[in-house]
Amino acid sequence: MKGGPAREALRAVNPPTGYFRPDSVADALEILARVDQARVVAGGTDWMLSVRTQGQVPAAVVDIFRLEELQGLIRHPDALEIGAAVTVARLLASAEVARDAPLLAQAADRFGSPPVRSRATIGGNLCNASPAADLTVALLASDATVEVASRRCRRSLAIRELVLGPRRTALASDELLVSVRVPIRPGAVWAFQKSGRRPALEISAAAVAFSAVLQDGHLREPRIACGAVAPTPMRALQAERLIADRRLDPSLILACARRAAAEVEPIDDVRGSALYRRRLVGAFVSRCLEGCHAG
Amino acid sequence: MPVKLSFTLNGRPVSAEVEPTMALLELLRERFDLTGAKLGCGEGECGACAVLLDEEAVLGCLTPAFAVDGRTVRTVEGLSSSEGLSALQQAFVSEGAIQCGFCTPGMEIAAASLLRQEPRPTPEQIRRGLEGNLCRCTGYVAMIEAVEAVNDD
Amino acid sequence: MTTETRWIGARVPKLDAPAKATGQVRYLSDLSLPGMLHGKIRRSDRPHARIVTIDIGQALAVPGVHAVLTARDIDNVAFGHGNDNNAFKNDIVRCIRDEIAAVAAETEEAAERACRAIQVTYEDLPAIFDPREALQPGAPVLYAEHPDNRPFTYSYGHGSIEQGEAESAFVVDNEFELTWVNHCCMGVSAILASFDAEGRLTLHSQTQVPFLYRRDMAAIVGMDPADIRVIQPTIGGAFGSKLDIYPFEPIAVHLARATRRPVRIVFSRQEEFRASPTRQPAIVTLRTGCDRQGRLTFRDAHVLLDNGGHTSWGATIPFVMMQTVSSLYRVPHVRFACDVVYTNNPYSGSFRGYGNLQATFAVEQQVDMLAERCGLDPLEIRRLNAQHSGEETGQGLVFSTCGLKDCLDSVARQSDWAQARSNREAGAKLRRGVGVAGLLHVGGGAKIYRSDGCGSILSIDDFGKATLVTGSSDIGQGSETVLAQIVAEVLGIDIARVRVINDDTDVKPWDVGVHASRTSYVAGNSALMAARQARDKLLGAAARSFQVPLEELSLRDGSVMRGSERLTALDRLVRSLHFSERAELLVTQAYFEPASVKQDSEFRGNVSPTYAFAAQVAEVEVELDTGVVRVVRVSAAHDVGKVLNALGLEGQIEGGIVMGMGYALSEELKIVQGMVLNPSFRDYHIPTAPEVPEIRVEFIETLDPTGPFGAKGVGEAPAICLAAAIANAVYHATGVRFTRLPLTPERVLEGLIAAGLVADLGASPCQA
Repeated sequence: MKGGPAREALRAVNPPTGYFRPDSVADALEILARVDQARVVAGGTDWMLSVRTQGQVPAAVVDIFRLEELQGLIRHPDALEIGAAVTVARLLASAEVARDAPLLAQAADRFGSPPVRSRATIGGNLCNASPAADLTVALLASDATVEVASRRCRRSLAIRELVLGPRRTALASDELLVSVRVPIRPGAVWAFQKSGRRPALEISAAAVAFSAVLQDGHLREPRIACGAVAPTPMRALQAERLIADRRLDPSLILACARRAAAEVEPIDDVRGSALYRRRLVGAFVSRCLEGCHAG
Repeated sequence: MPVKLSFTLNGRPVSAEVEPTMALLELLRERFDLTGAKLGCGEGECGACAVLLDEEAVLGCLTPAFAVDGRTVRTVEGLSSSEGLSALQQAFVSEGAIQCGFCTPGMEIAAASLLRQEPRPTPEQIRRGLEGNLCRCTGYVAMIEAVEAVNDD
Repeated sequence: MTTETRWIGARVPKLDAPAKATGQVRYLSDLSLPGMLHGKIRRSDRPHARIVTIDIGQALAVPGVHAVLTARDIDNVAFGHGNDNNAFKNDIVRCIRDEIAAVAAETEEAAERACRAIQVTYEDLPAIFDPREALQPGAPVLYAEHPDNRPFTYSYGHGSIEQGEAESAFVVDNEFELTWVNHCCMGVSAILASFDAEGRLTLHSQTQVPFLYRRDMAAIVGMDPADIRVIQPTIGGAFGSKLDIYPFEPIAVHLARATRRPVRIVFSRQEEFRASPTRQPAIVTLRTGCDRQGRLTFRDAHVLLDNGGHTSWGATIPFVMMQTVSSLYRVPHVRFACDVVYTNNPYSGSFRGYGNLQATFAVEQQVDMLAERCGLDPLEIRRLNAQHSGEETGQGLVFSTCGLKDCLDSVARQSDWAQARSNREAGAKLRRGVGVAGLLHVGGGAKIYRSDGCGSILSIDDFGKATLVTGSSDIGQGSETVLAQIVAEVLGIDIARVRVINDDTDVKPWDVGVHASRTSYVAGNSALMAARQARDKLLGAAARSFQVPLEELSLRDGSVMRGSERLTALDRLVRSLHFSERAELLVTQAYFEPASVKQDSEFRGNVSPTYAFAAQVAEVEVELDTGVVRVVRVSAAHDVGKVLNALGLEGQIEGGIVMGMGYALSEELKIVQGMVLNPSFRDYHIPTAPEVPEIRVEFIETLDPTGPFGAKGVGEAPAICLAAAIANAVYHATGVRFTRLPLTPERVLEGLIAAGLVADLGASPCQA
């Protein structure tokens, strides 16, 4: 007797032709500019799944997981800069992230499971553009931006400009997401809520990230981001306007929760009905606001 | 275009040529006949395929084989030594943490990865450390106790 | 019975645990044979359709393909409890998953590609997915021989419902709905079939019932059962799922026969969710009455079972459901009726508890409802109605020992019941609650065949090592360790000197199989008989050779002892027998047949020689704004007769409790139009480590007079009553009664909003 696993379940039908492991971002951009239909792969967790379940095999793979230039976790005076290949495990272990980007830390804590977190990267998760991506929701409420590079140019995009739809981003085929910039908001309050009974292995039926600056009891620049309730993570702008520059009280919290629940655009699927998702958004917005009301 | 890999596997230097789409689990099971890591779901949801990559748990089914080039891989087969079971494995045996045993290799890998990061984990940290590994037999209680028992030693 | 034991009752690690801890054990998906091919099955994607054409031309052209088979290529013998299944479906598919064709190829990916290349055209037939509708006149018919779509009915009664109603002060009446649940064995379904040069078949199989399996397989593939050898490699969990033969198994045999090569089939996880048997769904309509003091007066149950498109063991769960309806607590008047109805949904098999989770969910919630009506505490009404040892129930079940009351007392103590009941508020958006449920289950098999016995062959070799060849099987639950403990105990040897062989039908004697919580009791008694014979032989030989009275001798620490004097070592004694003029081998054999009876046509009779009882208390927290229910603590007390292996027993009970929690809170195959929409652990949630509650367990030892050392079987019991206890706890926390499982956050929140406990934040603002 000798070993042998289920081969089919693990192997792609048509292997790609190219594998590249560039040593620098410049080299990576060169490859992306030159090679048609090259696929950037970081930790590979989403990519391996798509290879296996959808048989999606690109012409070439550009492996950026170990690119030194994408590993940074740098505290600037006004922002935290996080390299695209920083893993979720590193986000979770970072004292800077915990202090300066607490929404990201909380979302990372509920991300996948430990062996997934050790491979999955912040850049990969953003580019996967899942409607239910918790990290994206956290970044959206943090006013984060991303740095995108190509041989042609370098540009900065807001999260909502990057993520256009399910599995769809604004990146051109020769572009690489190199870093994420999370502004530091002194005096801000934060809250993150997501659905489910368990801390891990839970794809959100709904998630809400909230941040605002509390000034003399008034909420300045409130941000309410919601996940899994629209084709992309979205801001509840009407709900934000309701509470902007106001003092919270129970009736305002209730009105804001209802407004957010009304303005999201969820669908029915196996993870929950549209109605339940609205109810969750209402419950989570309410929890977020009560938290900072009480605090 | 096959990718040439050299890496350390359970303490020994090895090399292989793989297609870029090959998963680490397939490399270990088919090329090296290490069947300890299991294919439980192929979707990253059960943890049965977990192995240590530079002493950190990763999923064999979601990690590209090319990711191990130049690095160190340890599977459940590499947890024990010629002296016998590791303290962790012994604790799994004596605390009754093993029933059907299918999830055991992945569970031990998750526990080993946790203990490396947190040599004295709290019960809560142990639960969180095992949260990516499914077990249908034991109800996890004995596994949590087993990791605590290693912690006590 | 306070005799000192060394192995019985100890915490003995599983004998195979070191091999499993090091990854050395090979499961079916780790095994291969030289020349082995990979089998894949092409299944229907229609719930109900006539197969018009099957074109296998392109499939045969895929490189590496050795054979493509359909119904036309084989003698397609019907099989299954309803004789309504085939390896390949002949002309009609009756559910999504039905097997149409299969491929054997050199690699799994080639087999997969060839399967996809098979062209099937269908003519859709009207389909039916609701068992209530299937019973309506004019509903689409699945099988012409069953024009009413009702292949089985069950009817049982004792006493008189009319009289019971007349004696009742309070009556409750509810409909309970239980859904499909997957076993989620970590090791997926698999088989490896190979023929030898003389046409004999070897099956590496996951079956829990190797002898019945061999007989049934022989009939399906047209062989002499004597030419089939079943080898049972270590399996990655079973929980009842391998109690029947399923089409993929004869398909592997047909492929091996057609290709003259070994063929292995291993499911994908998605296939496992879509095409393996489930826990039987049920709609239970139950009325229960009690008098003013809370004494139960009657139970009147009607059960509707969705049989799916074919019949497996799910259709037979009424046997167990009616025991709980008739005999969990004293009930003078009982009526039980059940209709089993064909639909175009997936079909169900056997699953740990075998219908009892469904029945107990209904029965134990109504006990709580009646307690509230007559002003009794939930524990009080149960104590009032619990039976004593020695009682016979209306159905003829004889409770030789019954620890139900002790279990109730134990969980009251462990959970600090009175205190927990008085403490419900935990915050503006959080409620606490505590609930209890009890259970009754067979504890020593169930005589559903002519024999419910098990054979053992025990030999002691020249080195004092004992080898027990048992008919029973181990499916991960640890029976081989318990049997070794029994042998070690009786022979006075170390357990390391006992080897148990239980995996090969060419070697082991008959046994019914692993089901009905029978292995520790039936195989245990059988091993005990064989061990006692061996002990008597050894002591007799020692008495003769040392010229001492037999009654002064005993076996201890690998030696024959006379009091505290060591007469001879065991191995020496065996050698002296072996190499003497007597030339005697130390081999014994035993067959144990439990003193249970096959029930009569009215379902009366003592179907098991002993019964297991338990009570479990669940403490829950309910988030009012999201509907999330968390189980904080479970206190369990189980009447186990006698603890054989404390470590193994704790593992069974903890594992069962967590499985029961999954059933209660999250597990549900979402099936729409016959299609499983969540065939993945991503969207089918079994419990994970952080969700596990604090679990307290107490064993109640009632020392059953017929059990090995007094033990009863407990394999299934721990999973049975937790869902009812959780639902009772949620009611205690919120005042809302949930009669449908699982208690998903969405469903719970809906109930809380409907009851006016919380505002509906999802209602559009203009309505609000």
